[in-house]
Amino acid sequence: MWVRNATAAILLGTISIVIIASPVKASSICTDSSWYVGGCPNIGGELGDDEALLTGDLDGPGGGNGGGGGNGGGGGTPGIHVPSTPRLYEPCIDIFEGFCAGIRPGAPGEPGEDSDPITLSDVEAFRPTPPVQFMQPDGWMVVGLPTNFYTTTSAHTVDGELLGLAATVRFTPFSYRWRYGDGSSAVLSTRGAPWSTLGLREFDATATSHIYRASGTYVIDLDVDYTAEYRIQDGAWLPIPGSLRLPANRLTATAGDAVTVLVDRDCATAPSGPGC
Amino acid sequence: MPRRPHALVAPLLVLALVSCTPTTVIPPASPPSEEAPLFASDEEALAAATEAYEEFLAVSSQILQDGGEDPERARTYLSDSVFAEELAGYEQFSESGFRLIGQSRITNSVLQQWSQYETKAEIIAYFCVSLEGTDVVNGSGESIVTADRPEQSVFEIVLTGSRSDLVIESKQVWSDESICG
Repeated sequence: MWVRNATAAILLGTISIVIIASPVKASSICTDSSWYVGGCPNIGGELGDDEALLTGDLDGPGGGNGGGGGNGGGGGTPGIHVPSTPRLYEPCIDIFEGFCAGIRPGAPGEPGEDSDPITLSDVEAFRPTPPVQFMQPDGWMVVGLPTNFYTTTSAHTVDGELLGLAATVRFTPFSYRWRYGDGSSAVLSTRGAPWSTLGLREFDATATSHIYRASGTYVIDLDVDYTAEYRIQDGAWLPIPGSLRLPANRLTATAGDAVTVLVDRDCATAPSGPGC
Repeated sequence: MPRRPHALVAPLLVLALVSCTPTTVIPPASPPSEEAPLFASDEEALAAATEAYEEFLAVSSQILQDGGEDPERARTYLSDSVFAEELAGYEQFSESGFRLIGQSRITNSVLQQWSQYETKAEIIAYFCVSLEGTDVVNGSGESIVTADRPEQSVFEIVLTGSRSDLVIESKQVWSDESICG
């Protein structure tokens, strides 16, 4: 495989790469027809506390606001100013259906006076599914033996709509921050898995297990960090800068000491047997 | 007695030499483990991408000048998904009775990267495209172009395929127009 770049070539076996300083960021899809008539929408993404925000406006690339993203706060709302005259972009109704149609004043083709410009901008929030954590044994632990913590959260997509276009945000977990409630914590790059999935026996150590040293009741918290990307229609995935941190459910569990007892047979099958 | 071994050894030697002869021929040079690069230079890759994109722009403009008629003309230049998007626009032109006047033109191009897998290449490049002098009119001949339509845009174009058959896989607008100069 070859990959070439315009300023420098790095040979990695059969791969060479060239990369140039690139323009700032990509916007959304843009058909030739819509571009000729009124330019193309700027769409960008940003991450809030617990959600990804996609912002879109019909300000063309020459609009001077840097394009999408970061316009949710102060200042005027960037956006294209479309005159409310018959010159309004007719295909817009379909291409950006539900957006243009809802804002456009007057009937199509009806001559009208120029009025204040209309701002065509849109913001859509995409919330990831909160992570859920589990522990083994469920709700209790044995002092001195590994307790297995894990979460089932994984990369997932959330669908929505921006400027009448299908928009999707993909959240991908990359960091797992456990606070075990005994003063210790861990930042791990794996979400863990049940003992059975890992092919291990109960109380075996795992990449996400923790050993409690004293009996008592503990509260376990987990925060998961996600990266986010978005795409419009079937376009390419574009990264949203930064990351999101979402808390998982809180677990409360009791640690107790274990006593080894010699029994006649498995207490599960013979609970009334000697030693059980 | 001492002659017998010689009598045996000589034919064996000849046989051995004969049998060895074919294997001592220098084999033809084995083909390189890697395909030869499709483009001799970055400039060549950019030129191929520019040519392919220019062809698409010309055909697309022609379709829009024809009021969206015969949009299939653009299919060979585009991937299925990109064609589907463009097709919707062509059809809206047709349904609305719009017609393009003039044609866009590339004013600058910059290569981002190109890569090759076997005989297929992928080229990503930025193009500054000007709309200067173009207009879109409705059936009454009135312009429907929005007042603040940008007169130029930067597109990131991804093309894949063989050297002589590049197809546009993706086209996206970029907000930075610095390459337009």
